[in-house]
Amino acid sequence: MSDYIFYPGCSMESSAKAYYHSVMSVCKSLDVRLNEIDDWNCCGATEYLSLDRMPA
Amino acid sequence: MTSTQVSSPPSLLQEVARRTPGESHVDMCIQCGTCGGSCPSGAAMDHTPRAIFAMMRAGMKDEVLKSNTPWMCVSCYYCTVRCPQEIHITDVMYTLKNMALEAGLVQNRTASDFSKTFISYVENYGRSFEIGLAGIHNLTHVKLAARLPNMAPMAIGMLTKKGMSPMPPKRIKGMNDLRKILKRAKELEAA
Repeated sequence: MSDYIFYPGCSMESSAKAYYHSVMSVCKSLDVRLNEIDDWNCCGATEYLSLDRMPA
Repeated sequence: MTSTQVSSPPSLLQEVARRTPGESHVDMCIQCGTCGGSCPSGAAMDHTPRAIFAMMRAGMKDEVLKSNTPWMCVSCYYCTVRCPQEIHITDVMYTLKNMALEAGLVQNRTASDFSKTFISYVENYGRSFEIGLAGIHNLTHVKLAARLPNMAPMAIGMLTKKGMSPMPPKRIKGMNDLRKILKRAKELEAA
């Protein structure tokens, strides 16, 4: 069993939920444990870059 | 009459290079057109990325900043990957968007408003909220007559097929810390 830190991102709990389920089942089969970062925040995607570079 | 040495203001190309992080190679364009030919949004742009580089070199600041080109960019980075001169084209597009907003030259605010709505969710909850984003964006940017027929199937799909929750995300616990980071970043930018 190997451990990885896991950052899902906003889409993965919403529009890309299917990817979340795939990742989870693949990792289960591969005996990989994903440890989700506690209380993570949005990565800003490309929307921050478009308006204002510094916060991104 | 004696001639005086006047330092000329930085050219548009220099200004874009200064504002783009890292070594953007913005002055290295050979006008091969690989960027425009690779761009999935090329057909929707007023000018292809290649033309934008020629216009920047020609100092056509207003035309460049009024162009919809950077706003049509979907950040796929295909142009950047394929550019033989290794110009950071996508990063230059972000710079042009920042400059166009600053100069008040954005002609169509659909894309910049989308970014603003996205950011308002992040700054309130710490995470993005896609159904809210799609909803607000459609209400403010889709014509009333087209709204229901266009929106209803999409909204139903989001809720049923995709299983997206219509509830806003729970505010993250570290929201105060995130606000501090963002505040500090904005101070640094203003400095």
